[in-house]
Amino acid sequence: MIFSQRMKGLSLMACAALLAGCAAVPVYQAAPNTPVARLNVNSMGSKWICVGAERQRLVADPTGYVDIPAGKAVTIGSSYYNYVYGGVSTSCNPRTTLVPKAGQRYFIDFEIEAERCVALIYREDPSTRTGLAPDLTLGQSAPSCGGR
Amino acid sequence: MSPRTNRRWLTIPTQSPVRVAIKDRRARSDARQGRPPDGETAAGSSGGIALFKRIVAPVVALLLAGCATGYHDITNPLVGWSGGYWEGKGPGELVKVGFAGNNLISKETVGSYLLYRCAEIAQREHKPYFALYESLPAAVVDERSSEKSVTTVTGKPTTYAYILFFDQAGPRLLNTADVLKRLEPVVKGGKTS
Repeated sequence: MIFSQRMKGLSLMACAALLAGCAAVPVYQAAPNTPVARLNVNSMGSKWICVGAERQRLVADPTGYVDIPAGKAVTIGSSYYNYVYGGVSTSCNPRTTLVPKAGQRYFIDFEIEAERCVALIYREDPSTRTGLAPDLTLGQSAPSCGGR
Repeated sequence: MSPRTNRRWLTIPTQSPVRVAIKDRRARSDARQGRPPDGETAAGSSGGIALFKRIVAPVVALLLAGCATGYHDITNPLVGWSGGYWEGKGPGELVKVGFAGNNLISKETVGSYLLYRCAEIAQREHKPYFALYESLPAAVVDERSSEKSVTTVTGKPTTYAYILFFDQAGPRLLNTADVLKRLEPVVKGGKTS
């Protein structure tokens, strides 16, 4: 019973610390009068962008999109905690880097397979049946902000 | 039996780490350590309910643990805990179809179940042909497959594929009726929903 109470206390403290950590991560705001692209963040997971080697949260507007900087390499990540996949809870923190084009819309998703999870970003292209097209700028070097 | 669970966190050494919480029945742990289940004192553990908790429930759990994942919906409240098939819409016209197995089902069977489920969905949508894609990148460049190679997630055979429906035959498209007919013997007998 004592062990259980201690575990409860530790769990509460851990939750509080995690929540405090989440709250401390700033929300990304695109700089005014700079070129931006639009990122669709409707898929699962908490999305973030690496700005000056620091993670900032990407929060969607009512349309499900968020502005991201265009014309330079940016690293976008997606964090999943306690995501139930195939009957077990998994957590992972994939990221990827691209050079967004001003005015272009992008789609981010993630996949878990072969004991790995990867972040995927594509250009949105309404002319195709998948609604997506490959983005050739993926994999550009940029600050990582942790993750893989 | 109490629904409370214990979780152990493991880190799987991968290129991109996947952390796993394995849920164990709290009562199972309690039983190993000689503690009574939650909400039950040693003095109050007699009677039919206590007998059920101590003997019948563990026996049922052991019997269920010996079952390989059958062909059923993962949301099935009775058997979905062992895995099963699932689906999701998008992006675009794509449908993502998955099958999650447990440690007692082979990768080959999971691959057959996944393909059969894809054909079932195509039949449900009244589409005689469908394209199978092993991943989203493959779907985006229209790289069609005839089957999906199955890997593991947390050591269990778990896989997914994307499908796109067609009304006419075309290069590397799968015939819905043919797939259903070919794989029916594999699937038949294990279907629960």
